[in-house]
Amino acid sequence: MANLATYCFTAALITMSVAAGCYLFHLVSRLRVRATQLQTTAGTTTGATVTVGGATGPADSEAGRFGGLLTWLAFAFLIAWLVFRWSVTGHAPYSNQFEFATAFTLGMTGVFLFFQQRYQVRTLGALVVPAAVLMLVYANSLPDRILPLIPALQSPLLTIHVAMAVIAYGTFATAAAAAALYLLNERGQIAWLPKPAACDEIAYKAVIIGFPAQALLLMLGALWASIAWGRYWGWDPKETAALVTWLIYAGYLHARVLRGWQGRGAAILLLLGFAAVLFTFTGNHFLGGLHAYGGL
Amino acid sequence: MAQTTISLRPRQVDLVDRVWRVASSVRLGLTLIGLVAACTFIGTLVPQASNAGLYDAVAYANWLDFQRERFGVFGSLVTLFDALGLFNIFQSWYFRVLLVALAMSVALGGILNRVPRIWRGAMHLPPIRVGERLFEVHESARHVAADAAPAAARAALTGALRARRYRVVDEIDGDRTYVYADKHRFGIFGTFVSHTGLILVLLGALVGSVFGWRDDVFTITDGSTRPIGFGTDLAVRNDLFVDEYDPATGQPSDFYTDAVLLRRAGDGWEEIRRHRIRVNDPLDHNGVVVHQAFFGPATVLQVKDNQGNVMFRDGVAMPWRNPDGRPLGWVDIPAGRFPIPLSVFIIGRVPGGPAADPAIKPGQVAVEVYPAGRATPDTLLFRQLLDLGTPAVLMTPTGRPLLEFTFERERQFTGLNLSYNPGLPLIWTACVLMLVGWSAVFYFPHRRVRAVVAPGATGGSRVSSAFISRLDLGAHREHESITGDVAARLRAATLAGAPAGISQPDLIV
Repeated sequence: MANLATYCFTAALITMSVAAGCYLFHLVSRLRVRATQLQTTAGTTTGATVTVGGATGPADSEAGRFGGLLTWLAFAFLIAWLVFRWSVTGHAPYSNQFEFATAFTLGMTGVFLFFQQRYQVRTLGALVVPAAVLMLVYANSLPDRILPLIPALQSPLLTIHVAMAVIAYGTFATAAAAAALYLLNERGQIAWLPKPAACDEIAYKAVIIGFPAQALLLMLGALWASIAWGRYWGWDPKETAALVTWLIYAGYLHARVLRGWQGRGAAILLLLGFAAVLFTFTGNHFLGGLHAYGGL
Repeated sequence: MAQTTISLRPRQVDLVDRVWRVASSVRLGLTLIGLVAACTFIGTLVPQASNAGLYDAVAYANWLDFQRERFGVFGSLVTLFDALGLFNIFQSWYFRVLLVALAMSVALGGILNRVPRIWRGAMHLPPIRVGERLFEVHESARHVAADAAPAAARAALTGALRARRYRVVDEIDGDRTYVYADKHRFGIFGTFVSHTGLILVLLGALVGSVFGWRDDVFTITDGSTRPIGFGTDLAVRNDLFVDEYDPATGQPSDFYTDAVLLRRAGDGWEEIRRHRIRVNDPLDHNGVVVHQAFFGPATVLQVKDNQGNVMFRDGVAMPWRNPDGRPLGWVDIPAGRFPIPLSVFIIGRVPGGPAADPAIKPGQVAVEVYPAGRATPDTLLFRQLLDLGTPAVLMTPTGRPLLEFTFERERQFTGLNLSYNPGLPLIWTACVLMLVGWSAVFYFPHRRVRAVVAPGATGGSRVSSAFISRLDLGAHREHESITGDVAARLRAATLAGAPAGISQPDLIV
């Protein structure tokens, strides 16, 4: 079973890498389509149109479709890794940095696939999937030894507390990608990129999943700390870093209704928020604290 | 009697209004969120003294020196950080002021200022009739033309809307029917619920900090009993502490305390309940919670006076480490037959094999005796290595015996956390409120549709509709679904009622 988990991890890494290449090729092909359009009669649009909340763009490409299929396959491999690793360890595979980095990738990929399916915006994959590959490469560099769970982590709350992080961080990754695309095409003049309104909507829809998930992560962590240590909040660096992340997204949700902060300001907050996610994720390497066991 | 009226001059009204606008503004709330986030980020990066478990000013000063070494070439920043309170930022006055300001902003801006507008939006019906130009220019406008009579078209539209749980209100004006439909109009009230939750969290934290208490270093040697204190009549007896290790890795796999909770009964104790306390399975009695936290070595020590009376006989936990890395514990012995109270320090050997500590051999501990509360090198009264089972005597300078110390046996101690937090119910309630509130706001957005049913230009009828709330993908798809359903209902109505030869209605323009 442990070997099966390793094979699935490796398969996911390879498949995701190829998928990333396909998405990047898709991006290039959209650029070429647009260049070709500019050379033809003005106003002529070739191929089917894709509508996203009123926004339109050129059609999908073979590379994009192949990238989508491969990403689904990589996602399936990651699910299989989760199942096999869980059956070997006897608990949810979230107890060390390697396991959580892989689970983070699972969340990132799953959320991206959901939004790609719903909004038919493959360009998002050109940002999210390479990021997922980088996360898997990072996970691959970490020790993946299976060790017994230390007493402090022997609780059913491990599963749901960290699962919330997987969901939250995954959605914030998609939101950040949408924000980046928004900023790249703020005026909507780049036809081969999704329209700003579509990017804004995708980002918002991602955050309204991630924000409560991040809050639930903090709440379940508080509940667990209260049970284990008698203190629901101890200003531990991991706790405070997660709180900073949550506050940034709270700021984003308020900024969206504020004149002068809509659009660009909100998008910048999303990028800042994802930077906070990465800081929270990696911070225990240098910040220490009670979460430092297992490198979480 | 002449009546007097008091009225505010315009400038006063203007000032109050301005203060209210600022205090309840989203911009202020966003600023406060940013400041709290910034302080929290600083507290994440800068080492916090509160996490170091420091107990007095001397320990804090030593800790600052340690930080100067860690900061290296930036060591001079330590003094600045200390002056700014950055090493205790979460307990600083300015952080607390920010939290209070945030709570007020949430109350004023998040709740009170928005109640009238949101209440109106949910409870009051807008005018049903609108200008039909809306259906020509609105980006979401859709039209369905059919051969069916306007009455059938109206029925199809209202049926399609009601099937999707819309509240439908219509108004007939001549040959036209104007329709207003909405759903989830109460979802926005979730914002009041979630913001109330936020305030409750802060209130719960305040209640806990004022009325709660905790002890993070509550140690009990195996077989010993220790009162909890804090005004309770409770004590905990450690019947047995067990620690287990994984044979492959040597890591602790489990550790627990078979504990008995006791209540004062006369001069003794009566048993309330027994519980095996593990890290994630504390003992909870009416809000007093005992958690398994840590463990370590302990020494059973006996102290007798020169008459042979036992002044102390119990386990002394050694949870601390001295600068040499040796386990360290102490016990205070009150004055009695001995004229002054004493602090007796027990120092164990450095953990490891026989060669780990040449100064203190296996089966030995060191004991140091000081006047209570004055443990400094120049107040040391007595220092002696104790062999297991062999008494050592503290003598006067003239050779008269004063006290006898005996190292009776080695034991383990269990380290427990005690806590009592009456704010917890508020905290958990607040969490539920926040989740419920956000779910209502995010997942049940207020959806509003306007429509008009009018006679068609060439006969039949025409249904025009527009989605007038936020037009996101979900709303777009819902609108498409509604218009598709209207068309299907009209088709069915036409087929059911029309003789052969009548053309099919147009679908969607």
